[in-house]
Amino acid sequence: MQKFEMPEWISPSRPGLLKCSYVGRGDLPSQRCVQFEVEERLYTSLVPVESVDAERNAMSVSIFASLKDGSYLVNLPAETLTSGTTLQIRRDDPQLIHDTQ
Amino acid sequence: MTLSNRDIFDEIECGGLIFDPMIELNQVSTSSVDLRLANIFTIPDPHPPGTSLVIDPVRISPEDVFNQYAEEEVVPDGEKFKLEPGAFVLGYTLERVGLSNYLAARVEGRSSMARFGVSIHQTAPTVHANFKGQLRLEISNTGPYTVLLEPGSPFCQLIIERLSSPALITGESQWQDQSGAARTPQRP
Repeated sequence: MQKFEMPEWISPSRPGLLKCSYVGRGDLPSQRCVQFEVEERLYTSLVPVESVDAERNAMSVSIFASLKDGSYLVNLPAETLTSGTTLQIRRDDPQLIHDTQ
Repeated sequence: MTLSNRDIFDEIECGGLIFDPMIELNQVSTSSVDLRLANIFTIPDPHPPGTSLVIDPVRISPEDVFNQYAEEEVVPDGEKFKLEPGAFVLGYTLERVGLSNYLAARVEGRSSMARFGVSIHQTAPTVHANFKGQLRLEISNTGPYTVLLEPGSPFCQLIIERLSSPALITGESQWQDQSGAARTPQRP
């Protein structure tokens, strides 16, 4: 049996915000290009404009699972250029705002 | 029926779905698994240069052709593979994939690569039930730019489907247990 830690599902998923270091124009008027940094790694994504909170320079995410190591799995509004739509992030990562309810 | 991320995690836990090396959790999207690119490429190289080799697929297999008329390139750690406009090469996924007899899958590209004109298969995305091995990728660049491919980075996605009943396994695929000679270590 392969070693694998099952996530603990958060159902329904909780809304959160992920701070962005850059918010700019996307390919389409309905998109924004965002950049954010997690664990010293820079991600870029083209996300729907309605998922961006311009006042807080952040985009909405959905927190759908937690892990024993103290991290969350969050679903991004769109896949990044270098990875998919799921991001693993520490609960105490200052980039993640999860008091948005 | 396509597996959701919850189903994918369940199948990994019970051993119905195997990845080697084990995938990172963030490779699992809502309904697919991102697979990474291995560092070995097969580059078709007809001889003599400038001529067009005539292939009769009924009489000769792709592996026979590539054994004779292709070169293998292993990209060193930290370096990238240059995919020129119009180029066609074969690659592998970094992960070996194992499917049980009630799961099948399709390997598909990612939009970020597609927008640059890079496709990852040539109309052959199916991974049959009971398959075990690295996935062979038929990579081509129909765009106008030279694209740098980074071994170890997410390159394609696997969409996994549950069969309506477990398949009767009567024989193994001709590509069973296929693998590249070299594999890229996981990124830190």
